[in-house]
Amino acid sequence: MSSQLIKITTSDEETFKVERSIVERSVLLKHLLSDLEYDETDEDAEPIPLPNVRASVFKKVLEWAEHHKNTNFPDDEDEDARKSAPIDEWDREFLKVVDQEMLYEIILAANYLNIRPLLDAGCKTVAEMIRGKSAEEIRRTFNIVNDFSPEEEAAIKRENEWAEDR
Amino acid sequence: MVLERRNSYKRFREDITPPRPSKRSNSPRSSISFSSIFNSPPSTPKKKVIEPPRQKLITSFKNVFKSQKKFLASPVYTDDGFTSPTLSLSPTISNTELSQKYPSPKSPILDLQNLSFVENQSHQIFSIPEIVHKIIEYIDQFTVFPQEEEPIRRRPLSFEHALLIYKNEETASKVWNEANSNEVLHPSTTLKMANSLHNCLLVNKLWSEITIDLISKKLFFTKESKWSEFISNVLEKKTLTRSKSNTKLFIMHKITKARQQDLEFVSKKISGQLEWIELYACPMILPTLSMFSGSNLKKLVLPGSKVVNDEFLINASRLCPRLERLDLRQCLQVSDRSIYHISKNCPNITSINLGRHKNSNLITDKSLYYISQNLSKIETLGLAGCAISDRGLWQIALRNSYTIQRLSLNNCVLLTNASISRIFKNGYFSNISVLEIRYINGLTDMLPLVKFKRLKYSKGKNVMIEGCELIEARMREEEWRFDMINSSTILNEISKWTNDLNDGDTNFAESSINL
Repeated sequence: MSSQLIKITTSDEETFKVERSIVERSVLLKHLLSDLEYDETDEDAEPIPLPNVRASVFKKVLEWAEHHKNTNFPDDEDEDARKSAPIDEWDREFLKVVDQEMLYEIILAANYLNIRPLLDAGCKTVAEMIRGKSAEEIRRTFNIVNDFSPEEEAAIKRENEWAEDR
Repeated sequence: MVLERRNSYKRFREDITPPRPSKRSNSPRSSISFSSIFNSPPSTPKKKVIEPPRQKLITSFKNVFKSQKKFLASPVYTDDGFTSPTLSLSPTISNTELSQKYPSPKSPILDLQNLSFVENQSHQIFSIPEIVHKIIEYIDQFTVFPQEEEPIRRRPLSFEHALLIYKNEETASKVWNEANSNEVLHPSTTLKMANSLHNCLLVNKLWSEITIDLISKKLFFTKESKWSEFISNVLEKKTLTRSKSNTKLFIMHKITKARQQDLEFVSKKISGQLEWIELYACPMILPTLSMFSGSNLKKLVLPGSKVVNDEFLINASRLCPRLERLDLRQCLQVSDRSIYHISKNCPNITSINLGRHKNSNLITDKSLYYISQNLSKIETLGLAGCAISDRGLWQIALRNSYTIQRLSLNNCVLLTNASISRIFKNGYFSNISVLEIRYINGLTDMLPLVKFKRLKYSKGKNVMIEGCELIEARMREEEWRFDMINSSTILNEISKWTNDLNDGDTNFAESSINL
C-alpha cells in the first residue's frame, strides 16, 4: 500500500507520504501532479519538493486535510456565500489551539499551496482578532511597523473621516 | 502633498515590478520543467534576469523616499529567505488585477535574505497584499449597512415564526433568544464592532491602500455631515482617486438635504460596476443614468422619492437588464407605464414593491398584467395601496402561483372574497409564506385562509398572515369555528367507536372468565 502514496519533501528535508486525495486538496499540488503525470505506483518516483513549507507546518496542513477528507466545500464561484459563512467549528478549534506564529504559517502555506478553504478559515480567524481593535492595538498585536509619518497619518485620517463608522 | 507622494510611490512600484504572468500560467505547467521551479536555489538564472532593474530600483527608491531607513524597516519587504518564490508561483492570486495593483512585496527589489531575523517582527503574511486583502475583506463582512428600522412586530411565538419575520437565521435566532430571555440587547453591543475597517486604514501604508480599496467598493452614508465631508473630499480629489471605479454598492440613507448636483458630480466617480443603488428616503435626488452603466445593477431601492417618475424609470430600466430587486415604495409619480417598460426590460426581477399611501390609481390591474406576462421569477410583490382589483390578482395567481412567496395587499380596498378567498380555495399561491391583508374590508370569507394556514402548519411550515384588527378578528373567529367543527367531528367519531358493540372486541365479562 505504501507505494500508493505520494512522497513530498518539505523545506527542512522531511519526507511525507500522503494519499493522493489528500494531496489534491492543494490546487497547486493537484495541477502539479497532473502536469507531471505523477505515478504513485512507481516505487522510484522522486519525492515532490515543497521548498516553501516546513515539516511542522505541513503536518498541520495534512491534519486539516485529513479531517476534511470528505467535506464538500462551497463553490469557489459563490464569493458572497464563502465570505459570509462563519468559520467551521472544527477549523476554529484547530486554529485556536495553535500558537499565533503557527496560525500565520498555516495561512502562508495555505496561500502557497492554494488550499482555499483553509486560507479562508485562517484569514477569518485573523479578522476576528482584529475586530474591535484600534489601529495601534492592531499594530501591537501583529508587530506591524507604522510606516506613516505623523503628517501622513493625519492626512489619511482627515481624508477618510467620512468612513469612520465602517 | 502626501497623496502625491503616495501616488509616486505607486507609480514607482508599478515601474519596477516585472510583469506578472497571467493566472493560468502561474500554475506549474508541463512546459516548465519540474526541476527549474522547485529545485532552484535562491540564485538561479531566473533571478539574474531581473538584476538590472534592481539596480535602477534602488536608486529611484532613494529618490522617492528620503526616509529610507524607516522604509527598510517596513515589514513590507520582510523576507525570511526561502519564501521568495511564493508569490510568483502562488496560484491563489484569484484576482490578477489585484496583484497588479499591489505589486508583490516579494519582488526581488531588496534582497533582505541576509538580514538577521529581528525579534518582534511582524509575520510576513501581514505584508503580502493578497493575504492582507483577504483578511480585511473578512473584517468588512461585519460592516452593517444602513437599514430601515424594522417595524415593531409582535414577539415571535417560535423560532420558525421568528425566521419568517426576519428572513434570515441569524437575526431570527437572535430575536427568538431575546424573546425568551426577556433581556433587551443594548444597541451598543452591536455597534462595538464598528470602526474595525476604519482602524485598518491607519495601520500602515499597505493596509491603508487595501482598506481604501475595500471601503470604496461599498459606499454608504447615513449622516448629512459625512456625506458633505465625502463630497468635499471628492471635489478636492482627496478621495476616490482611482482611475476606474470599483464601487459595487452605493447607499444614501435619509440624506434628505442631499443636492442633485453633488450626486451628479460623484456619480462619475462611482459608475461602471454598481450592483446596488439605494437612495432611501432621499426625496430630492435621482440616480444619474451614468450610475447604471456597466449593466450590473441587481438592486435598485428608491423608496420615498419625490422625483422618481416614469421617464426616469423607463430610461433606467433599459440600462439594467440584470435587475432583481426593485423597491419603489411611496414613489408617487410611478404609474403603470413604468411597470410596462420595467417588466419588458428587466426579466430577472424577483422582487418589486410598489406600495403607497397616495396616488393609488396610478398602479392598476394593467401593472399586474405586465408583471404576470413578463416577470416569471417574481417572488415578492408589494402592492399595498394600489388600485388593483380581483381581476388583476387572479391574473397573478394564474400565471405566478408557484413563484409568489410574499404578497402585500394592505389597503387594496378593491379586493374582495372573489379574489383572495377563491384563489386560496382553489389551491393557488401554494408557496406563499407571508401574506399581508390589512384593511381589505371586502374580505369576509376567511375559511380558505384558515385552511391554508392549517394545512401548511401540518406540513411543518408557518405561514404569516398579517391583518389589521378587523381582519385579525375575522381570522380568529373563523379559526375558532374551524376548530369547533374539527373537534366535534373528532368527538363524534370517538364516541361512535367506543359505543359500538359490534366492533369485534372481546367484552370484559368474557375475558375475566377465561382468567
